[in-house]
Amino acid sequence: MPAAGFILEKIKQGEALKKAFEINRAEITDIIKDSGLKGRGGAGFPTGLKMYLCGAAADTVKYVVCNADEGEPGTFKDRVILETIPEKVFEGMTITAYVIGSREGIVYLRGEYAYLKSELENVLKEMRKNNMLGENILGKGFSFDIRIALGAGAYVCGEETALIESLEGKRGEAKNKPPFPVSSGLFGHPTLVSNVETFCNIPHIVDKGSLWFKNMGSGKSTGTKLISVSGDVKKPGVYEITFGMKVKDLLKLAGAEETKAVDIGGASGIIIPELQFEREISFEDIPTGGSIIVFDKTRKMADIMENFMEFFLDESCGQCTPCREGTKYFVDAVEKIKNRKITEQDLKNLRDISDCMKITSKCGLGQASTNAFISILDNFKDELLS
Amino acid sequence: MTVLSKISKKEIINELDNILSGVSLDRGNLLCVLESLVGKFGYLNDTMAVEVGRRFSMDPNEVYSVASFYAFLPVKKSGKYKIRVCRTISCKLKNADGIVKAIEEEIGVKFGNTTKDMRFTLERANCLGMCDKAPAMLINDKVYTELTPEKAKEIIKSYKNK
Amino acid sequence: MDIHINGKKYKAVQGETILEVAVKNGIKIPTLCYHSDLCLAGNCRICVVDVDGAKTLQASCTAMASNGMKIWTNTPKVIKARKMNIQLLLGSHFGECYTCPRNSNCELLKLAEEHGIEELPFPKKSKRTRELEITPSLTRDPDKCIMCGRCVRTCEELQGVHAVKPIGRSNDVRIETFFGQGLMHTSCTMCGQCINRCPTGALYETSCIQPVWDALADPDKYVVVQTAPAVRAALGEEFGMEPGTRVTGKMVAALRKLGFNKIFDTQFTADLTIIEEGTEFLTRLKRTLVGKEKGLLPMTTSCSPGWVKYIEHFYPDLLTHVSTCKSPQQMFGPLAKTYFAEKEGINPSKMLTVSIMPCVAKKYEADRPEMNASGYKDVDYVLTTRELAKMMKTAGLDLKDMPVEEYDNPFGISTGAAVIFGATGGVMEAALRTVYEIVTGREVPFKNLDITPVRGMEDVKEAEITIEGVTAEYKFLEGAKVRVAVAHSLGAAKKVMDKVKSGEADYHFIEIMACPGGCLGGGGQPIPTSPEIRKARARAIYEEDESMAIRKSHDNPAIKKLYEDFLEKPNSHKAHELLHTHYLKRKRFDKVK
Ligand SMILES: Cc1cc2nc3c(=O)[nH]c(=O)nc-3n(C[C@H](O)[C@H](O)[C@H](O)COP(=O)(O)O)c2cc1C
Ligand code: SF4
Ligand code: SF4
Ligand code: SF4
Ligand code: SF4
Ligand code: FES
Ligand code: FES
Repeated sequence: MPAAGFILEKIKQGEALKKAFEINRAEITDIIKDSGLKGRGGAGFPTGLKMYLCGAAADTVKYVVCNADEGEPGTFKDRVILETIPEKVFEGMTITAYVIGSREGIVYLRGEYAYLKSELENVLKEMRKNNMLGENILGKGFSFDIRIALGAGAYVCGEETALIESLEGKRGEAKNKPPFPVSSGLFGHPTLVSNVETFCNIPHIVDKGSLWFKNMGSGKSTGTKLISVSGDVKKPGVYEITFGMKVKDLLKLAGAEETKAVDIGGASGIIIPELQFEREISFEDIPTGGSIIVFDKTRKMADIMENFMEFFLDESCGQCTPCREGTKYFVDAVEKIKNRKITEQDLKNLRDISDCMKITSKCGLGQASTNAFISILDNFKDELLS
Repeated sequence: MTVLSKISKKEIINELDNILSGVSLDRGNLLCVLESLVGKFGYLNDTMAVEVGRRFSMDPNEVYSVASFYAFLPVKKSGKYKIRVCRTISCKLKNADGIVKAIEEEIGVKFGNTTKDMRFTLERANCLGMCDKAPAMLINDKVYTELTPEKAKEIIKSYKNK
Repeated sequence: MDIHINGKKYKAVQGETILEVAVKNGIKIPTLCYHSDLCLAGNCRICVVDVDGAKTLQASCTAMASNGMKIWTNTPKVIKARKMNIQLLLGSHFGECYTCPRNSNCELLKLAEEHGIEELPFPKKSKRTRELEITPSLTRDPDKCIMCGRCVRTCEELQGVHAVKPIGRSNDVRIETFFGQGLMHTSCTMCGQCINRCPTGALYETSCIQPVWDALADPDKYVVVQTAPAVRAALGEEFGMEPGTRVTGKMVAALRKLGFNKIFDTQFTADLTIIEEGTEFLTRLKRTLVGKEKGLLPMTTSCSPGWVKYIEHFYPDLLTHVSTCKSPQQMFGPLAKTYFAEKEGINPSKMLTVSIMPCVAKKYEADRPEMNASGYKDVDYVLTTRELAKMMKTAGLDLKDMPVEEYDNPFGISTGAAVIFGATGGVMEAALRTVYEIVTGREVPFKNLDITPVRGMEDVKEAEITIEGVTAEYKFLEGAKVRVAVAHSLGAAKKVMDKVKSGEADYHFIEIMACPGGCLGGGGQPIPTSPEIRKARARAIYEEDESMAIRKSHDNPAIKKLYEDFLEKPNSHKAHELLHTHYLKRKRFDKVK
């Protein structure tokens, strides 16, 4: 089924970069724009537009940041990319840097992946040796280098403004947007933050053209997507799918049996029941940063709720009222649900808190943290409240 | 790394000199310096915050505030080996609780605690990005996956004499 | 740029926030973490508004206005969300309003009231989870903290002290001192600026109202009170008067009604400070210019105990620069218990001195062990402006209804030079009025004695005065250009002291006040505070100066008499014993190895 599998495949290193050097910067931006590539980190912002905005920002110092903080529960596809084809990520970053006019790239690697750091540094060293990084890359007069910065155990640092704060040696607290990083990011300079997988797509698109890319996928969701599959399946792992694949087909691929529910998008995603397995994975239907977690019929939905809400209780940065104060009521509520003590009034209150968190939280963490709770409540009411 | 219950100022200064050789004192390098200190001593204390603050021209309390934000930069006494067992859902589905229990038995302290000899601290961790090979745990920087209670005990044993 | 708020069109300028445009046009949006003295945090999410086209509500305090923006400040959606955030804050709040020192002006309580919060949708925190921290000056009640970060920003941005920080994260995040070692061990200056900016009862002065009541009720005790200059320019605010209302005479009347035996004025010892400090300054000048000694100049003032504690912690090697003069409060204490007690035949062991201060650092200062020059604790109790107001309210005294009365003699006689101690630049101005005249025999060459270059709210002010036509005794100063600097807030102090430390500064005399605006913006003053409120108080203080019959400290007849009868001459041995002090080199963190 994953006919278009290319992300995890090795490429001839430097080919795309050479090609990029042949074309002018505006043209590359246009190609990426035209390809319809959208960010693979979850928010799905058009990558070409991001390149354009950052390229247009007037500053002599700009940064390219690769978001390898991958903290969303159930997501591990960026890890697999970094284990198998890190050089492709670095090449994608280099092309991006060339387009926007940046000399410095940083990979923000989550602390949990510290064991990958030395291997990644070896790859960078090798690339420097081959003049694919460093001064005057491939003799084309363009200089750029990449370093690796380690996170230290904070999920919220995957949020781009929190990530930047963390890179600046601060508490990883999200900042108000605007200004967006593309205009004022790391140390106040324009910064393009993209996901590991997003950078991986860029060399391919530059090499093969936007049409090739557009031909994959569905509607406005072009290209492929890596999906980390875990939970109650025979073959957990990373699957590359073209957008538009039905959940049930992916389940079949992964060897899921007796499936009761599927979480799409991790703790900040939604949980759907069997009835909805016909739905598609795409920006238009169910978007995801790249994970599904499968639950079979033996699982209790209240346990899943509890686990996700505890996750957020741990991981909120704690600066804004709704997220800091709201989350704990959901943890308490699960306890009540388990003890069959929850009342209709409680549920109404929880929905009110959830609404408030969704629309007033400062960053995406708080805005999404009740998704799992609410979707389980909506989709598995009978089990929970009987 | 040695097991330290008392850390002298001299040791801290020496280690910091080591860590900082060749590192520029931009605040952007703060986390990485703190990570190295934790790597050496297992946690950060007030003296380290003062010394780091001095080098980075930062207020020591700011150093403390930053460190306290991050799960991997403990600001309380913590063991030489931090065992972080993932307790997020995919691992939970694969008996993460059983792993915790086995480790508790093996080191003789409950979840969230440190052994008397300051060798092990057993903590919860959120998804380690190893969900395809659940259940998983970290011991300091090293990942262990597809654990069983027996396997976890064996691994812990191998750290007892390290 | 045009923006629409609630359907009406308003002009906005690039770089303005939605809140700024709204305030400018009289549209009220409730706020909580916002404070006009501090940088923007955008974390309470109370000020949210609906902006057409945005998926989520926007925090108006941080969201920039942009052309064509359509903003709704009071839709049901907005109000519901705001209300929920207020409820969420209340839900994790432990404390009962009826026992809370801030219940008359708590911003959280006010929001609850304005939004008609009748009940919480979930159980409220029902027991104390974090301990009170009590210091001589301030008390922290973490269970009433709503994590707005205003204290953190105050301590960092305005004061450069960093005594309190957010520690931890998530629901466990809290405001804490360095490794939880406590304010007393981590160089908090006790300035209390954080109190003035805290919206709730999480920070307040450590009160000594009760012992003062006890003293007043004790027939055996002779209780004298002194009032600092800045109090009279702010006390009215506690009784609903406009900021900048002068209430000196009414305050005196109220104190008399409360039962104090004598109502004295700290301004008397402010005049005395000018004589002592001016003389010390001239001595330092001479020893430096003639004797070529080092480390004596620039001389800095010492009347702000927050500043004194700051320099003890942060620049211990520069302590020789600090004037040895005690603050006016601490000059008053020993004089009351020696000179005045003798004169009136009162047993000093039966005398209690109370001071009314705009400051909470003065509480700490009064408790310093060396402050017992009289053989007793020189100043027994320090009340803030706020505490005095509370006592008056307890006694049913409304300031508005008070008659205008006069201070008692002899420590009630003061000058215009003394009242301006309450504003940044005032000590400098008062000192120059006197020093210039001592040296030249003529008045300072400023119209109406107003030395305007040292007035105003700029954080560091500089001035230069050329001394010409000196008297015989001061020949060494002929033609000298005396350079002075004035700094208020400890952040500004740092700017100046870094220059002194590096040798870059060529000042001779520096006035430093720990609090923004000087004492009129002190940590014991009425809440709220803002640049406008402080300007209004400053205006009142300069008006008071203008209205005084005598405007130069050395013309104060009671001071002259004090020297004749008791102290002999400025900087005499006796003056040194009673009116001067020494300082302590302190560590930043005394628990750290
Ligand atoms: C709480 C939170 C966590 C996030 N974590 C990640 C992450 O681990 N990796 C990632 O690429 N994006 C993450 N994002 C999204 C980033 O903010 C950002 O949109 C993304 O890195 C941009 O890259 P893209 O355009 O390539 O997707 C997170 C967002 C939020 C709100
Ligand atoms: S939503 Fe949560 S994680 Fe985001 S800023 Fe607010 S408290 Fe922090
Ligand atoms: S802080 Fe405000 S809301 Fe809390 S108890 Fe005090 S007055 Fe009431
Ligand atoms: S009293 Fe002053 S120095 Fe102490 S914490 Fe408050 S603002 Fe900071
Ligand atoms: S102590 Fe007061 S000012 Fe400081 S964060 Fe808490 S509520 Fe805000
Ligand atoms: S859930 Fe344990 S590694 Fe992801
Ligand atoms: S006042 Fe705007 S978020 Fe607090």
